[in-house]
Amino acid sequence: MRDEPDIVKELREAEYLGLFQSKVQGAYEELETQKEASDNVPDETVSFAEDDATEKKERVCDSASHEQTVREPPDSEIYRTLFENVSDEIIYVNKHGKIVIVNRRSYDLFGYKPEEIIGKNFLRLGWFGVRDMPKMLKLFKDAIRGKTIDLLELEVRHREGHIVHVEVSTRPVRKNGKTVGFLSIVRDITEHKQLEMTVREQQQSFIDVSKNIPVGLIIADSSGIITYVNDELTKITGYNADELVGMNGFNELTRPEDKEKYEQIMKRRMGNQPHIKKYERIIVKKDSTEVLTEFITTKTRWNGKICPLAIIRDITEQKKSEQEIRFLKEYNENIIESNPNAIMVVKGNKVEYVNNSFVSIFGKNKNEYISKNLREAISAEIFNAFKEQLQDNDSKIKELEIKGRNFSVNSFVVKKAEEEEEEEERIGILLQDITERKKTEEALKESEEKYKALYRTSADGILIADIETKRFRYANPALCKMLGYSEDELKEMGLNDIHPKDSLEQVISEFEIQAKGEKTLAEDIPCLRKDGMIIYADINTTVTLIDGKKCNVGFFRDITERKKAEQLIIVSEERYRDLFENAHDLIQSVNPDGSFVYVNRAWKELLGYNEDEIVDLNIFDIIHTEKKDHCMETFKRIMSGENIDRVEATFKTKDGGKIDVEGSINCRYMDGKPVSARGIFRDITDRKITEEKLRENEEKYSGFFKTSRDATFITSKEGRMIEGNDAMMELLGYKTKDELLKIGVSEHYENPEDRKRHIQIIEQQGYTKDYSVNLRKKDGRIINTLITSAVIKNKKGKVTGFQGTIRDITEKKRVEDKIRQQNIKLKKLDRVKSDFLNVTSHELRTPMSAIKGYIQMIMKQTLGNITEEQKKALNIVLRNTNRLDNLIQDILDISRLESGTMKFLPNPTDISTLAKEVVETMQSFADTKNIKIQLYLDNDLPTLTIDKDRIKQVIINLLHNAVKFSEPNSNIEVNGWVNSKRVELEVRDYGEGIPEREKEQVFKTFYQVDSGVDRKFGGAGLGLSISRGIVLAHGGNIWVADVEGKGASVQFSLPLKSVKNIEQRFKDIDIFDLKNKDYHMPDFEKIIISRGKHT
Amino acid sequence: MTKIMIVDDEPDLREMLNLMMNKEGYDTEIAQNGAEFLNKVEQFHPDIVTLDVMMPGLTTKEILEKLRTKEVNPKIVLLTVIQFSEEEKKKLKQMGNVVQYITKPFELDELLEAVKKNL
Repeated sequence: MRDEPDIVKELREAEYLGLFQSKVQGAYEELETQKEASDNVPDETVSFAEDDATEKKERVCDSASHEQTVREPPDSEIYRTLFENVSDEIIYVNKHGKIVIVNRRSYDLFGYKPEEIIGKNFLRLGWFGVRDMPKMLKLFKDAIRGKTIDLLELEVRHREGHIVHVEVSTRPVRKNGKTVGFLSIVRDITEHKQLEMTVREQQQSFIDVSKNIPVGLIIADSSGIITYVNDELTKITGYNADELVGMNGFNELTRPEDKEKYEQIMKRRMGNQPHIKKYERIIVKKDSTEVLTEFITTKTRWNGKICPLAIIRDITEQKKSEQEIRFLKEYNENIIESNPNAIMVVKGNKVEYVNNSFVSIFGKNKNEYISKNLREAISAEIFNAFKEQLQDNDSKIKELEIKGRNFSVNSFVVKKAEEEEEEEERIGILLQDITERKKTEEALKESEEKYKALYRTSADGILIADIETKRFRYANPALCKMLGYSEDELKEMGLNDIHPKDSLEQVISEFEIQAKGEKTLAEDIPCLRKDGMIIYADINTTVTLIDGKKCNVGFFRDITERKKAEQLIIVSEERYRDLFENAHDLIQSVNPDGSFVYVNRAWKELLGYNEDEIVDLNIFDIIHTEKKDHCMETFKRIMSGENIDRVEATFKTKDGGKIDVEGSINCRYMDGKPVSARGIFRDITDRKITEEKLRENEEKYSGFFKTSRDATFITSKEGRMIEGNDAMMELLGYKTKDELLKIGVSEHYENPEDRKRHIQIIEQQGYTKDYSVNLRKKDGRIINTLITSAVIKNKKGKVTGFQGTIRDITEKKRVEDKIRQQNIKLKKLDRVKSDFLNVTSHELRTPMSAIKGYIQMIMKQTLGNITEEQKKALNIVLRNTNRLDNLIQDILDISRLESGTMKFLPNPTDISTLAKEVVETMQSFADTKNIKIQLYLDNDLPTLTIDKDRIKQVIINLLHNAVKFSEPNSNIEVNGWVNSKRVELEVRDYGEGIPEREKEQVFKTFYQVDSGVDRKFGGAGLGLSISRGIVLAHGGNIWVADVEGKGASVQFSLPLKSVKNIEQRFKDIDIFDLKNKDYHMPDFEKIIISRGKHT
Repeated sequence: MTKIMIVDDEPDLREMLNLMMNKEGYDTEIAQNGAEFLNKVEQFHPDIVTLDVMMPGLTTKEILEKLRTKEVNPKIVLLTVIQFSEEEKKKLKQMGNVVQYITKPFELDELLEAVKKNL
């Protein structure tokens, strides 16, 4: 597009180029010659791999040659001036790529002064980017091979970093036909380049825009050759962009007949002559079809030239719809014309149009209306209605009556046609004959009122619910009352709110079934009142349309009360049935024909029939053949009205078994006729079997049974005497067996309640042994008996009766009672005796005190002197007085022991000290026989908790006896030691001793070893008995030990650990019974007698 | 002179004791029951009283209790046919100045010693 660089042209024109060339070439040839001598680089080789050393050398050489160049001869001044002053950079590069000559423009262009770059490799100056390097290498190679390069655009980096756009032309420099380098002319085209870029950018943005606009664009040249199209146009024409560019639009896209017309239009447009801006033009598409387009042509600048630009729009569819609209308009006009409603169109105040109906309704002909003022054209009535409606602006339809007919007046704004640009709008008035509708409406209103009244006053609750949302829309007062909500409340509620949660699922399902119309009545629907109470309702539903919504109209009937009543009936029936069903007795109800109305579970179980079989069963089917006649007779009697309290029958089970029953039957009457016989029976088979078995047994054991001396019986559980033997009859005083068996068992009991208790015990443990019961004899006398009895069980283990024997213990009891009474008497006597002893002892001892006192006073000669003989006699009196006193003392103790009134006061006591005290006291008594009492105690005998005085009494008693039974001048030993857990004391004498056979007897009351001995020594034998009682009470023991040699050893023990309740123990110990047997009450009189004997 | 009062419902015994105590050189007074004793005791003002335990009328306990209200505090020697338990002895001692128990029938010397010992 560009012409040759001016400099080249000018050079050529000035014919300096050749000169210049040869001159430069000449200078170079010189240089090259010099150089080749020192520089042995092959001609054809271009190498960038030269080492630094070589480079340096070369550079030195170059600079040398440059200096030579500078020193050019003066005749080349013109060239030099030219060379230096041309506007282009001129550069000569040798075949090694080194810059040999360069003019000053290099500084302007790239910022390098010639002296800076001469001798340097031009490729190594950073002029070219790495990207361009391969291209540059190729260019260099081409150039040094002699190729001419024209107007090559290159990007060169300025010394300061920016890019300089240059245009380069090179010519090889030859010497002797061989290329030795090339000469380049470089022109700066940066500005030009920038301009070009701007244009290109603008064009591009146009293209970008045009691509996206919904109209087709064509840019063509003046001859009609297309230079640019956008995408939309390819869509319109069916050609692609490549096909379109270069195409002549008048030849290819135009029908031949249109070509001239269109060319004309374009010419006029381009020639600034009057022209059509927009016209319809048919475009022939690639597929030869035609498309109607709207063409708008304008001028534009494209690539710097003024070109026509066409904006093209496909208007095929638009045309079509325009046609349709036109059709519709006509159609509408027809419709309006023939519309039965009167229509008038007003424009401004003038009537523009009336349709046929208007004319036929209001009279006159069309022309009488058209163009008339509206006020005059129509009646005031219509006019006012119309005006009102316009003013109201709420498009509410006004109604009015004209000539006995009803019309609705409706106004509307008639839409403007698009192409019209009129200011005043058209108003249409539509008068619709609504006479019929009015009538219907009134009828409807009437019926609605009727229904409303019904709805308001209905006893049934009416609730209308939207089927879809299940929300309530209406509720009548009855329903509100039923549920306890107001209608307003209900309107805010839905199905979920008025039914208990647990039944909601069922209710909703019913609701939906009803909504589908599959069912109308939903029964027993639980409803939740506002107060939380649950009521039940039968809901009858119809589906209706309210405000276009499908609704369920539910009629609620409150059945709560009914349900309650029903439930009560059911409950009572159930209870009743339960009673029947669970009764152990067989219960049946039979029709007069013998078929069953009802039987209970026990009946079915026992007879083995199931419910279904009973339907076909007759009463006589279940009567056992044995009793058939009897039963039929009975049944007849019952049905004829006879009352039979007790019936015995035998039923037949399904499998042929036999069941004996006993029961009662009564007949139910209706209108005086028997309708059913109800029977309650008890299975007495077991009883029968038992009875039979017993009878068998009776036979088997009758001999034994009859002759048994024990009264033997068999009774049923219910209390019937089934059998009793002769002894039984005798026991109860009956003469015949029949007499005995007739009487219920309970009646034999003195207290009938006793039998219940008795049976309870027998049933609990299966038997009773010697159960004490009072029975009543026939003559009314009560006898004491012991009954030994056992249950009789049937096969199933059920108790059916009892058997046993009765022993009459009346006599025994009488004897026992007598003994008991005697015992009581004895005890009383005993107490009397004790009291007697107490008092007597006191009475006896008091005079003793006076006697003893006076004797002693006399003996002491307080009352005057006495003789030795008198003194001796008084001594004897005194001794016997003492003996008598001792006896009284002993009797007193015995009395206490017997009556259990002896008191014990246990205290911690040192047994050693106690023994010493006693021995000291008794020594004076022993002295009378010149007997020495020796005490031998183990060291450290423990302290015991004992009644000191009582134990002292024991030791005194033992010592007293020892002294008594010892020979004078003998010794008595008291020994003490600890043995195991006891302290043992021994009183040992060397007297007569105690015979082996009497060792135990000595502890008996009033016992003395030998009458002979007794005579010799005197004294009552009460001491040992008393001692024994005391020791035993302390938890110890007393015994006569074996001794070696002469004499006796009486020992007693006391536990180390004290015994509780000594007094109680003492009471419990039978001190007179050594081995707890052969107890005999000592007789006071006998004691006295015996005592008397001993005295 | 030491004053001894002898209280006993038994006339023979009472006379015997009275005689003996006189012979022993004591000033004596007698009473045949508790009531009489309590009447005379303040007037006589005895040093020692021999008191029989079983007398008609007031019991021993009652006598001792009432004695405490009197302006006298004689030593008491109880003459008894029954043995007192330790507990009973303790109680009696708390009630009055009981110094000795002598069981009837007693040795004459035992009684005289008891009197002498408590003078």
